Amino acid sequence: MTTLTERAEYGRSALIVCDNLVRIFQVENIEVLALQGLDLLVDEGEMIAIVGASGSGKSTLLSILSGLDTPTAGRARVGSWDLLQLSAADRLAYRRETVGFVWQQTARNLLPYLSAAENVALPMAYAGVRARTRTRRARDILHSLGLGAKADRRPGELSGGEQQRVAIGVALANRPQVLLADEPTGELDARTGEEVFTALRSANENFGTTVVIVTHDAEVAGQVQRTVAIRDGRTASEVARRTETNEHGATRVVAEEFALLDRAGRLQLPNGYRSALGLGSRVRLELEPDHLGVWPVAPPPESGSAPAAASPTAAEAEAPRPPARPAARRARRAR
Amino acid sequence: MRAPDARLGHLASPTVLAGLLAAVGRRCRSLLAAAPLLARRRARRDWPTLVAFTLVAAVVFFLTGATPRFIDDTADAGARQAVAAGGAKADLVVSTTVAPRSPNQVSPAVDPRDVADVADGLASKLPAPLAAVFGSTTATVTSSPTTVVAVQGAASGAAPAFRLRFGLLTDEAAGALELAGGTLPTTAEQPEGSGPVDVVISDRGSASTGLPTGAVLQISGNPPAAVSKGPQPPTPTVAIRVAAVGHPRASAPQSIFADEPGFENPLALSGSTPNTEVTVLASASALSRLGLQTPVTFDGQLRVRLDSSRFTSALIGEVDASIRSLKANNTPLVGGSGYPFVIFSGFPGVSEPFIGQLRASYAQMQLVLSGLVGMGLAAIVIVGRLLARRRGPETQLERARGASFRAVGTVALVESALLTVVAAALGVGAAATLGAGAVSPTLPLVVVAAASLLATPVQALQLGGAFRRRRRPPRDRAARRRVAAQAAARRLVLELTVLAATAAAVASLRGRGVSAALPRPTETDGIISAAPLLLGLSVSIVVLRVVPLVVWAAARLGARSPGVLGVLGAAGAARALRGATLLPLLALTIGFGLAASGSLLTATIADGQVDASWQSVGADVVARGAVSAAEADAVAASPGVSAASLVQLEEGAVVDLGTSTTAANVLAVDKNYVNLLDAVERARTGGGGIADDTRAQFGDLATAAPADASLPGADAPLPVLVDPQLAESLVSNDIIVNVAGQNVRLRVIGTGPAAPGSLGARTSIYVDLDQLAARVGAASSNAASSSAVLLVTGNGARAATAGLEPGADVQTRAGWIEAQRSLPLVGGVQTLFAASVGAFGVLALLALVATSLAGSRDRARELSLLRTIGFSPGLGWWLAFVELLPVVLGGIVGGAGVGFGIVLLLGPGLDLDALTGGRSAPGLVVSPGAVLLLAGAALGMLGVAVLAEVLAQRRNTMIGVLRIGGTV
Repeated sequence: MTTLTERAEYGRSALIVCDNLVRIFQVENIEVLALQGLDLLVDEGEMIAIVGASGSGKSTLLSILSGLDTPTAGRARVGSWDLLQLSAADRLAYRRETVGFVWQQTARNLLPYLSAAENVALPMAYAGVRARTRTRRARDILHSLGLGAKADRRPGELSGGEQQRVAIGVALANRPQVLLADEPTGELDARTGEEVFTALRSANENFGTTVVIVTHDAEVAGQVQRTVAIRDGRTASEVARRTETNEHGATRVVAEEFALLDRAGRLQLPNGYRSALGLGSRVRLELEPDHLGVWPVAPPPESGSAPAAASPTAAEAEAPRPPARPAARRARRAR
Repeated sequence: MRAPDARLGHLASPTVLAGLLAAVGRRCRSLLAAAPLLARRRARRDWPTLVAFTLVAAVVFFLTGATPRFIDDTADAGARQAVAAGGAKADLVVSTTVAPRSPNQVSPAVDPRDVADVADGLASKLPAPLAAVFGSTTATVTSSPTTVVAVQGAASGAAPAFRLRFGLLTDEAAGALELAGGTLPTTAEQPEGSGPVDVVISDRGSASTGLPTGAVLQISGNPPAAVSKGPQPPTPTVAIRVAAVGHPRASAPQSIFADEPGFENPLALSGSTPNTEVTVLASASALSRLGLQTPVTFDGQLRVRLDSSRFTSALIGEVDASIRSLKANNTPLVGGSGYPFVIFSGFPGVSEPFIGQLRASYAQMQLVLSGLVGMGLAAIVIVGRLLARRRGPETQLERARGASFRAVGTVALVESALLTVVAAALGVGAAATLGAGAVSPTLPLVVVAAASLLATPVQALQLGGAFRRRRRPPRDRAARRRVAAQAAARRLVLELTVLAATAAAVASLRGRGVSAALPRPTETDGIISAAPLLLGLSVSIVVLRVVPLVVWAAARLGARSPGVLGVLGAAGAARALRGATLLPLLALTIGFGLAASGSLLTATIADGQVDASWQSVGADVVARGAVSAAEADAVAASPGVSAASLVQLEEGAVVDLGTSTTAANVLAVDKNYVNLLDAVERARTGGGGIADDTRAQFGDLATAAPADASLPGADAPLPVLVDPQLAESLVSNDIIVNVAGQNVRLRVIGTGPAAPGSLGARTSIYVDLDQLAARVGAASSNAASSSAVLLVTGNGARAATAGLEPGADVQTRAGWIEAQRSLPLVGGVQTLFAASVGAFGVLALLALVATSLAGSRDRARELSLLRTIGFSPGLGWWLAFVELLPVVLGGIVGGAGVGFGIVLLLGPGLDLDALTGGRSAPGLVVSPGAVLLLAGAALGMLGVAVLAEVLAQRRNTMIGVLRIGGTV
């Protein structure tokens, strides 16, 4: 009963809820488990980054959230839309009203034979917006993205960064609640990538759009409020950033890394932690009044003494340190 | 519950109305707002592909529009030719009794003066099919023969050597005569019983009887009433005066005096006196007078001539039905007149063979048409897929940007509709222009139009996922395997269903043939239409199952080769089979298969016609008429003549079989006949001659003589051979046949070959010429009942018989073949087969080039990547070659299967004998040479498709492809 109540309430206040999400692809006789019970909550107005190795399931997650793909099992909700129960008409309305999408490949985001303004106006046309409104709003969006002067140029006449900014304009055309971006700066240099990221941040701040970015770019990942790491189709850890101001008025960004406990109670420990403590396939848990102790299983006792901590190597010294106890407590409270 | 008016009032409130209108407006904008811009811009970018699509569709429209028209025109021309060849035999003849009106007349008969009016009245009463082909009506009245009592000026006591018949001089006949002397008898009413009756005689009749203009002759009148006492009064005579002598004008219709035998050419009579019969023409009133004053009686014939130029293939059946109906019940035509009418017509004898021929030729042309339509549809779908694939990524992007499938489909449909209109205008316009007439909207045209309209939109939606089921894949692995197994089972069931349907169609067609297919010969037979397509589909299915194994084996070998080409080739070939190869393979299989079957059937028909020419003519040259034995010997000795035989033909001799009688042709053959048969057999087969048994049997005709053959009329039977048909009717080997008026006893000693058509259409009896002559004596030379036929074979036969003309009627086998091939139906089928080979080639080439270009973009990326690791750009063609090769080879193998399948499986059901003119279905000619030639052409098409790929790749640059994925 408690579990059912928990399930009903999980992520109730979040805009995006992924609960034990599973996606299995089958190509001929080969099965690929892209998502293996992924949990994710994103609040309205947040701007988060999703990072992970290739094949970890980032793009699959974004395809599901954009309504282009259907999960195999689990629960996925964006706003009031249950992504597992969408009819064809619902899916169309969802794509028109709720999400905007930016792909990594600049050429894939825009129709090559339409100008920038026409590309931005296209989603509005599909949404049934009047012609005059479409034209005005497309100009406004491009102007806000710094592309007002290039509204009549076709994609081939724009740089990669400009194309991506136009793509952001296209994604924002129908004022979606969520903007999903899959490696939007992946094909761009650092300076151009910064311009694109600025445009995304602008969308988040000016229009209140929730932005979810899949990226490998550490610069991008470091500039969002929260970075969620995915490994093997599950959320592994996340880094939350906040700005602190000291007594002298100076500000600094504080990043705290959290391990995520999924709905089944599973916890993924970073490799660095495991190697630093020599954690193998079995660990010993000790429940304390205010924390949980995870201990490596000791080798067969020779003298009956308590296990000694191993000395970290140079490589292990650079690995992330275990999170501070107060931060972990805060994270649990937030859940 | 609210009242209806309240509900209406609610709906009509301004707020609700505005909301409804806004929603409708939003939906419309959602559907159509982007369409004009997208369609315009895409068309500008993709114009080469759009032009290609339009051209392919136009070609298919042309073929689909022109072919049925050609088929109909061919069938109509065949109908006209058949009716024209039937001549007067095809007319509708109404026979009646004619007699002058008389107070004493009891039996109803038409007065000679009314005959023309009655004939004219028939036209308005004809049933609709006959009215549609009505040409003209002619009326003839012919009297019974009457003996001439005396000719003025002739020696007294000498009986004239001719007798007379009287015919009606109609206005039409009067206008057709050119007078050599005198004036035509007046058609005005003559006073009864006064003066001679004026008649007109032909100049040949005048010469034959010696009656000049002005000659007067006497015929017997009605005998006077008998008196009780005293001598009986003499029989009065009626004077006949030759008022004019003339002959038919050159411009007059040949058939105008056909119903007055003895007018143009006097008839020779057997017996001594009179030995000639002449018909003279008199006015209707004169015939009435003769009817009253002489004992002659009259028969009337009202001939309804059918205009062959008005016939169509559909009308011929309807006319046939109408005539049969009138023969059974003539009331609709002559009912209510009170006269006795009997209707005759030889039209069924004209229409029946034609309808059989029409069924066969129509079925074969239908085969070509369905193949063309199927192949054309496949080509349209392939080019449509090329267009849809080119736009696939953009469709996905539009979908992601909120485009509904309706919106995507609408843009594609609008564009497709415009292209279809242009293609239809081009194709159908060209068909109408070349065919000189409007093209009617047939079912195939509608199907092609639908395919052209829907091919691109439907495939664009299909590639976009519109028809994909949104069902989530099961999470359980076993369930997923079950789903995959179900899909495989569905495919297998579908394939087996197609194979079963093909087998059923083939079995049905073989079992019933085309003759019994449909009540109307020009109706579309679904099975005949579907058979080639089903065969193509079945073979494609088998090829798709088999070719991967072959490619896999080839790929294994290729992968072991030291060079890069082998590895790439193996990978490319394997990849080609993973794609949507069914459609190109199906198109190539059908196209190649029908081209092959067309070639094979054409060869079969041509070969069958040659065979039929031997059956019909029996030798290279046949001369009928006055040919003496000396002339026959001279011809046989001429250079280039391999054999010659003189046959005395007694047609329609009555044969007493013991329990029944039948009619047969008696062929009195000389000793050379067996040599002629041997030479013909050698020429026909190109190999050995006749069997020794046959030679021995013909030898026995002359040697197995009766014991007392020198006595005419002896009872000893003559040895004879009978053909297989008559042999089946025999109950005893001893039969009696009436030859030249004498009953001759015959003993059947064996079965001979069926006689050629030139020796008569009936069953035949072979007898030795000398023995028969000895038995019947002088009667064998009677020219009126028998005739000589000289059969000559060899390269010099034509030259050797040239001197026999004009006394003899000479027919050549080459002329027979030429005439047979020039028959509209036969020529039409062969023309269509020949043209279809070209059409299939064009469509197959277009399909192959489109298939090549469809994969061009992927290969551009592959080539660019390979170039970065050192692959020579000059070898880019290899990638296209190895991808297309399995499809082309599969098409060749499959097409050969379809071609041979159609010929071997469907051939016996196609009634090819109707087109060859032979007595039985021709032997199927399976010529591997034709198939090899077509295979070479298919490989040539592969070369053209690879060339198109090379040219297309010239638009791409390596950097451009690697950077932006291809030329935009």
